[in-house]
Amino acid sequence: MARYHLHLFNDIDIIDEEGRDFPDLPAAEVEAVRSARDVIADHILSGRPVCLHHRMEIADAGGTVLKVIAFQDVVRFEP
Amino acid sequence: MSKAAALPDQEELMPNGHPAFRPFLRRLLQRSVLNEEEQQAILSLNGREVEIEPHRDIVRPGELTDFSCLVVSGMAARFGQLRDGQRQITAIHVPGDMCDLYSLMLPKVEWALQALSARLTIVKVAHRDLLELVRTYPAIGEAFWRDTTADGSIVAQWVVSVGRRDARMRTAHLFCEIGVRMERAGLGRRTDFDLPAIQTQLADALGMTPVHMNRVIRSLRQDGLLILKGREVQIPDWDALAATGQFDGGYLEMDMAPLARL
Repeated sequence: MARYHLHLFNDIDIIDEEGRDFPDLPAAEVEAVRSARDVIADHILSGRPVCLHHRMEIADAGGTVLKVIAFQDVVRFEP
Repeated sequence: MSKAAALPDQEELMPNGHPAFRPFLRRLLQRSVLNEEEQQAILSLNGREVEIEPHRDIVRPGELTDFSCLVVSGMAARFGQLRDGQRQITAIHVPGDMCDLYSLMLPKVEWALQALSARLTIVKVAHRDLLELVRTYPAIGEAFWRDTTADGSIVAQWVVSVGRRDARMRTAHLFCEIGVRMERAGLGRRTDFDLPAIQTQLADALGMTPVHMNRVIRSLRQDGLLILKGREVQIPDWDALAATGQFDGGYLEMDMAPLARL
């Protein structure tokens, strides 16, 4: 287990100061994707715009950003 | 959980009953009329006091139990779980609540109990003691029935929340509900109380990811509706938060005037 911080940069930014334990980085990524989709879904349901450049960042305990997940990477629109 | 662990040890029994049954009696009396003898019978109940470690389940899904759990301090939760481990919390229990009084009638169910707070103390009370009480005093049986009915009315509100209230309404509604319940349990005021819940588990109660929940809580704070400082909850404008959550405490107040005995 290692501690990862999942920060949200949205119309409201949420800095995850406490962090959470995950088995590894891929497990933290799964949670970050799930979180981004959850936030996007709420924007859509309430009719607020979704900014595709908004993002989740995964940082390690020392504050180094290990992974950036943009909203555009977790949703797909097809014509 | 072995059977031996579920039953109170003789040496741990307190001669005049465990003090944790006093808030339980207080809760019952908010809904039911019990005479002096019946009240004494509840206060004389005993059980095994147990500290639950964080992230430990008290009763696992599908486990057969021979005890019910009374919350002494901290918070407990009832949950259902998917195969991949995702949980939905279906009820939150505060001190004085007997979280699984239903297990007296249904000792094996697919829902289960976990700690909601990092620190949780419960008293496990043997079903055989509760059954004896119910058989000796029909009014206590009625009181237990009302208690589980009241819990059922909360679950019905939660279904409405998860199914129809959006994230913001749902969060506002839950904080209003817990505030009223803490106040009624004599643990603070509805506008100012301690919520020792672990964040990820509170999110499991709201059916959201913790990130999304924190975003909603922040937005409620920006609007001056809800302030969280660690485990301390402050609600600066009760009416405004209640309006946001379309919270109407009627489902909790069904018991403000104890009903006459059957």
